[in-house]
Amino acid sequence: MNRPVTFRRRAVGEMDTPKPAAVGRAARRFMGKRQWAVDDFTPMEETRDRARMIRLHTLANLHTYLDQFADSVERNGGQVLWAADAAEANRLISEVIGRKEGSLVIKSKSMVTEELDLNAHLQAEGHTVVETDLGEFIVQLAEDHPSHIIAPVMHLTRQDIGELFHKRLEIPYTDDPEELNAVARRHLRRFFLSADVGISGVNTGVAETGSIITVTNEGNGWLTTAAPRTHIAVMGMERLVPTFADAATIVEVLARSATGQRLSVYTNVVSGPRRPGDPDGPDELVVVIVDNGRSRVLSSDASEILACIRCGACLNVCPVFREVGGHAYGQVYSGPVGSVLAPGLADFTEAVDLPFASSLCGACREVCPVRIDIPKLLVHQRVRATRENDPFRWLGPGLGLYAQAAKRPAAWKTLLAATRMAGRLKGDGWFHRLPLHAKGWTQSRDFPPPARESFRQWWKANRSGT
Amino acid sequence: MERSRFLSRVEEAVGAATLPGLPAPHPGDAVPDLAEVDLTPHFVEAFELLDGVVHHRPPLEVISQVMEERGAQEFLAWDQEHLPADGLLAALAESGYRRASTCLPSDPEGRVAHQMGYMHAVVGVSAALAAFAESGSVVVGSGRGRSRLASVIPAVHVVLVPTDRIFRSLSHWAAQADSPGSLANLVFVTGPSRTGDIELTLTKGVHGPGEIHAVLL
Repeated sequence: MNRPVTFRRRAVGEMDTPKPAAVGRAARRFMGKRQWAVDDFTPMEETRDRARMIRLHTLANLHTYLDQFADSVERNGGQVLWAADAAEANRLISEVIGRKEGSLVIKSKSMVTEELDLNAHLQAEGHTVVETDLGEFIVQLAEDHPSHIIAPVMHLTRQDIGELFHKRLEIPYTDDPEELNAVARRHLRRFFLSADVGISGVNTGVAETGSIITVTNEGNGWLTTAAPRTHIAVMGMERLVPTFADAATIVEVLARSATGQRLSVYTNVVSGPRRPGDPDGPDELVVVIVDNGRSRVLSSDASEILACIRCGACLNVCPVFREVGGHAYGQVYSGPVGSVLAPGLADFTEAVDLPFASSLCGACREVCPVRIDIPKLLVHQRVRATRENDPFRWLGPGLGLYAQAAKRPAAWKTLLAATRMAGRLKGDGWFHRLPLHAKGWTQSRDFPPPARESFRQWWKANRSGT
Repeated sequence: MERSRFLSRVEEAVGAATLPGLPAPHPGDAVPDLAEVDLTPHFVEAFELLDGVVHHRPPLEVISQVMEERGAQEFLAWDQEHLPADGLLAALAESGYRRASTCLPSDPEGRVAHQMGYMHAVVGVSAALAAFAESGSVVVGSGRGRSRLASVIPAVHVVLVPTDRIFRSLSHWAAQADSPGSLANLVFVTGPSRTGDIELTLTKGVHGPGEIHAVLL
């Protein structure tokens, strides 16, 4: 089998950069903000229960609600297209844009289009694609990838961004966030006002009203859906709720959980193209509903992960994510949610090592606004990875070796003495790579330095005879 | 993929799903709290917490002051009939301020040219269809005479808020809203545009207005 770059390799590489410190700082600040908003006069715990029930109910009846949603969108004057996979989604989107002979496309942040690698596809067809979320814009300038669902450039410092703007936008160097922000506003404004097509994601669709809801804090989501003549909304097929009141619950929970706000600055509800008499707004609305592996996840042991509302809270609390950052996961979705979702979306042909990149500490389950039992799903994915790819071939022989040594006191003593000796020869005493059948241990963790003396030696010296 | 094939694939997956708590009933409608409370102080507190500015003065005074501070001559606004302040636009015109047209030409080139004219728009005036006390949000909606860009393009957004339209929260409003999907666009605006993308340092006005004023009526 052609082995892809593993999580371990990427994680070790990422940890050698200054990124983890930036990520750790940012993730902790996110959590501080979150605490501010969870205790308000919307009863948070009840609202979480409600949000969970809404999401599970929707998934359990997803085909019915998708059908109703499509009818509602069409009733509002919009068009619905169905994409089984990334290739089909990209082709459909190209066709819509091609029809317009337009080539300036603006985008507001959308994880599903990252999944499709839509930007590369459209650029290859000769369109100009401009990301408008400040973080995504920076990612695009840097020719990089987002490292966090909510904060795409969590891994960059203000100095990195200052350098980047200085080089790519030809402005004098500054690392003042206010100034960088003003530069981005000026630079992006003309794209908003003159773009032919705006592409947005969908935080949640509403089956009853055919509305699509996007939330942003910057206002780029609103501008993207208000200024261009054509609005294309790309929606993961599970991002739906039955009623408008349900959507209200979801966006309230989302804002609190993602960034500690009571509501995001702009909760934007689009129900069709502009109506007769509306002075502005898009003439055309196309909603592209994307499966791309989701029905496979839905029919697996990990269905529940599709209840996710993409707040990113599980990333911020995850001790593994905080150490290695989003890029180490090598997938669009990182952190605990990504570790469940990515191998499922990819049919377990890649990212099979991600479910193991967790200590199963349970912080993600505690913090999840819709109470997804992520550790349980990680275990399900581990079982499946082991069954289908068996990354643990070393385990049986390794334990056999251990048993052989443990049964023979002389052999055991020799082994321990040898380990202590080896430990002393190394700088920090940690083993990063063990030989033979024991190497499996160090595939996903380091082996700690052995104690200077064994328990038996200590006992002999301190306790024997007393 | 055809709709019917897509949906039958989803239906099959739903049949095989391993969701907890099946049959997963819908929680039912939330029951809104209808006790009479003066929500205005709550709204003001939440709005100011977000760095919004609240005014209890007549809209003409507030808008004139903002225009003067910014050295602006021109503004974007909704039509008079959708602003809950009689004679406001006429009075602004009398004071020498010019309202830019918000009606887009229907041809693509004309439309872009018109929109590019908003490039340096400084002040936009619109009105709240509703407001939420808990989050300090105002609801702006599209419709005849109600430009979307008037609220989102300018550097300063002045929104007229009738205090009898203040609800406890988004959920409370949604529980009683009459066909919320009937307008092509509704936006719940909660404070000035902001971003924390650069090292989570809060900066305002990245794309939407960096300043928002609520004039209570």
